[in-house]
Amino acid sequence: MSIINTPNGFSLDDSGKRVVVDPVTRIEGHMRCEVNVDENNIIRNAVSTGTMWRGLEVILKGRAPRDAWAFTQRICGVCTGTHALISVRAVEDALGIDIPENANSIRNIMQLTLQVHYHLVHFYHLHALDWVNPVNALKADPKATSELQQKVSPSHPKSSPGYFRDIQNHLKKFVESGQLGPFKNGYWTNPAYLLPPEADLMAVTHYLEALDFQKDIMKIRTIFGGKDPHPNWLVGGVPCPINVDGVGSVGGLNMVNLNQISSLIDQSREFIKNVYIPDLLAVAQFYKG
Amino acid sequence: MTETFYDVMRRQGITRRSFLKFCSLTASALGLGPAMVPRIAEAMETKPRIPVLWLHGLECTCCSESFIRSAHPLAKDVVLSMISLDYDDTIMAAAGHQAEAIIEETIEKYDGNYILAVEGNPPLDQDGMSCIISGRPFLEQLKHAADHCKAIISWGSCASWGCVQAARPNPTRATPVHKVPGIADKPIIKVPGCPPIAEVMTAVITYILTFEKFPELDRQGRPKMFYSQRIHDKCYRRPHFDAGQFVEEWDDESARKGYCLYKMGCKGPTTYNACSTVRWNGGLSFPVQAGHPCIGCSENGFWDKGSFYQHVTDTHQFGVEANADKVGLASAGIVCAAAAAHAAVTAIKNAQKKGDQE
Ligand code: SF4
Repeated sequence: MSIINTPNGFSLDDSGKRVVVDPVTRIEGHMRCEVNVDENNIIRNAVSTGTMWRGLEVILKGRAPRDAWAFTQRICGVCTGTHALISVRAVEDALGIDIPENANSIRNIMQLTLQVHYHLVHFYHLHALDWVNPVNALKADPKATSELQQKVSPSHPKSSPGYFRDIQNHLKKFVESGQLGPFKNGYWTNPAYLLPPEADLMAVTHYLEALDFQKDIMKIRTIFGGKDPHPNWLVGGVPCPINVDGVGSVGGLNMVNLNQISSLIDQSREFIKNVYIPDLLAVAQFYKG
Repeated sequence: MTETFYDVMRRQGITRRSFLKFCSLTASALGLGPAMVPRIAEAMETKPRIPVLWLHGLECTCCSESFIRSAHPLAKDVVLSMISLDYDDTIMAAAGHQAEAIIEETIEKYDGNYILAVEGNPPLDQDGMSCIISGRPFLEQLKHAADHCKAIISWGSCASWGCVQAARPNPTRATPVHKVPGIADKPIIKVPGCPPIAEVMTAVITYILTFEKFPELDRQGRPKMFYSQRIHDKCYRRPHFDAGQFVEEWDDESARKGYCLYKMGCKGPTTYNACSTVRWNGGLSFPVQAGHPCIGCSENGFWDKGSFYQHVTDTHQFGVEANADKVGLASAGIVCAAAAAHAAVTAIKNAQKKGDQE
């Protein structure tokens, strides 16, 4: 065992085998992870490093407080808006500004929309390939996938054997083309993947369904904030004026918008209930060991 | 074995009829007219999926996030059927050295024949170490991949202009792709915006795949078809601007009626982008439509042109940096002044009208 002391005051066990993963590709942004494992494959020391610095804190100095949200928003374009919301709140706290109740509700809906969106994108598109093996999905019997689907989520309409067979055929030809795109150089023969083929096929199918669906969730934020990623915020409230029943209501947030938002919320709830949560539980079941 | 876009669509069960429909939709999305449909169809039928290395420098990944919001075509179809997205550290399965190996494999197999898509930009100060990938400066990865590519797409305002990390005082000397010292002399298309509009991104890809060339670019390297008009030119609130009807407070009656946001700081009169035409998230809205002034996020140096809520006439910070962009900034200044004069004239006219009525 060898202990080293780092310049910033940590002591680390530097013995055994050093494993470095750089870049880590399961997150937004730039990250390096290093671990030391002993002869029993136990991690004795782990270090992670953010490998990018832009100096937004330096750039913000001397700027107009009302503009700050746009700068902090660019900290992250995946959890887009979170840092902007915190910025406008910080300015309001400093100046003792109370915002209108409606503005607060709109901000909350925008932030919660992101939370729903990011859970999907993080699980399926950033992270799932640690648990899900698309190559193994080729071995699945679509009938078994259909049965699994109906068991874990009886109310999800896309569950027929034909539907899964179709996806499997597409996937098969994609893999056979030899141009694997994002799946290239994956760890597909690693025994750490524990899902049976039928579960892999179900999860890969939902990877694609979620990719199509996530863009719709964010329409809620586009209605309130004008665009997404990086919608607009405002110190003192929200920029979108509300005009539900007055003259010229098409110029503001009106009944049409509210109906659309309401229907998008319903669709999101359905997707979370029928696809995301059941997948999460199903995958966890196989890995709980 | 490489296969064409058409092969992929066919084996995904898409009929020839819907394939042709897709081609004509693409043609109209690109503003190309029905005569081009057979040409697009032919291209899609015969061309293999082109490898794309999508690198990430100093950035926030909003370009990637925007890209996956594309409705026409769906991001899924672009990734599975049109290009071969072999490297993109946000969504790829491989990590660490297995990810980095892909860059070398691609260079070896497709030397001179892949597209390099860059999101973000490299820092030049601190020996490039403010952005590290695989233990080495991103700058090295970028230059290496650029040496062997066919062409470069500079996604977003970071790669195109510098964007937020290059805002004063630019602590890391973040530098847009075309200004990186020693970068290979390859064709570069800039698709600015923070982020760019999803459908603009996928349309640029579709165009390049179809015609095997860049669309026509303006002098600054942006596709003319999306960046030759200002937000203000096609803004649906323009009649209010012309009538001198302006929002004066965030919660006034004019805001509720959707009047012009010019006085609230709208940068639409100086911003070249497709927001007021293509709009965002499947054509749903754009910042002005949701009541916020345009902040000019597709323009060079938009972070350092005064407050987002300040009138565009106030251009005191223009020209602070003495560099090649001076000319561009100066002309932007003229546009501002013209827009301001224009606004003033319409406002005076309006006041006169009011006076007449009284
Ligand atoms: S100033 Fe802005 S809101 Fe007014 S017409 Fe021009 S782009 Fe539209």
